[in-house]
Amino acid sequence: MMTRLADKLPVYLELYEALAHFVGQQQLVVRVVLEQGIALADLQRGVAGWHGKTAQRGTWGADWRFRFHGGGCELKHRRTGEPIDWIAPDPLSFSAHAFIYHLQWRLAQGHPLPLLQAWLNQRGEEAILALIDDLIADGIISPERRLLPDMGFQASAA
Amino acid sequence: VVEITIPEGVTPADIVGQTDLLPGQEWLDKEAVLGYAQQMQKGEFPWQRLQDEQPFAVEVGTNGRVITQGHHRFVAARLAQVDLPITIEYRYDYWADNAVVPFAKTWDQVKWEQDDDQAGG
Repeated sequence: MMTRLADKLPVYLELYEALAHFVGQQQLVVRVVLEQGIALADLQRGVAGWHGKTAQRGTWGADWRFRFHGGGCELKHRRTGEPIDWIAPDPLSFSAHAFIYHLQWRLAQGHPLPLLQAWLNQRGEEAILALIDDLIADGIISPERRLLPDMGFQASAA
Repeated sequence: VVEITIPEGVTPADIVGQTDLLPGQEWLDKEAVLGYAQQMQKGEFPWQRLQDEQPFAVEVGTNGRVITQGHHRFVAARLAQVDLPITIEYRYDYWADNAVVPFAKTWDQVKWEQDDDQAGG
């Protein structure tokens, strides 16, 4: 039987919302990749997917710097330092490692995520990764690390 | 245990030393390499999780074996002096043509990315 987000500890809801925020920000990286003329599927070939099509690093608009690395691309905001890393090819799938890095940046900026802040402080990064694994085991996130929006909305409304 | 650092002036080539694996990209994030190495030293690096997300992969050509994914992990492992506890995925995407991997570089060509606004190529 599928577990609902609303039935779990509140830290899971805060985590789900932080993940949804990250996946939203990730779409900026997807735009950069596409604007550099690279098919998303090609990027999973690693350097072979972007070599000869784009410089490894450069700027995007006035505010962002990008850097291709293997089969991914990272955006970093020039003023705030916000780091958004995306691993190809699925634009809706997140890297748990990249999410943790972004979460640490958000916490350092003072974004109001008190439950995740406490969880991270008391138990460390591995414990956040374990929470993500729990959501996968519960069917709230897919094994490919895609959020399943219906699960989130149902849970929030419940 | 002495915490790992990367002193000023130490290059990726200095860290890697002797190896027959060639790099495929020119820029590395020094902070990421250091963070990975420190986790590896403590046995806390999520090898399998990263491997699931982005397998460590090497293109094989007549000009050598060239990393196409996994540069930061490779340099960090050399810095932490640990073996790669994962299976390298070998790819032969260029084998049908002239078998030269076109993005092969030498470690001397690899640089740390600076957190400034000079990014342009």
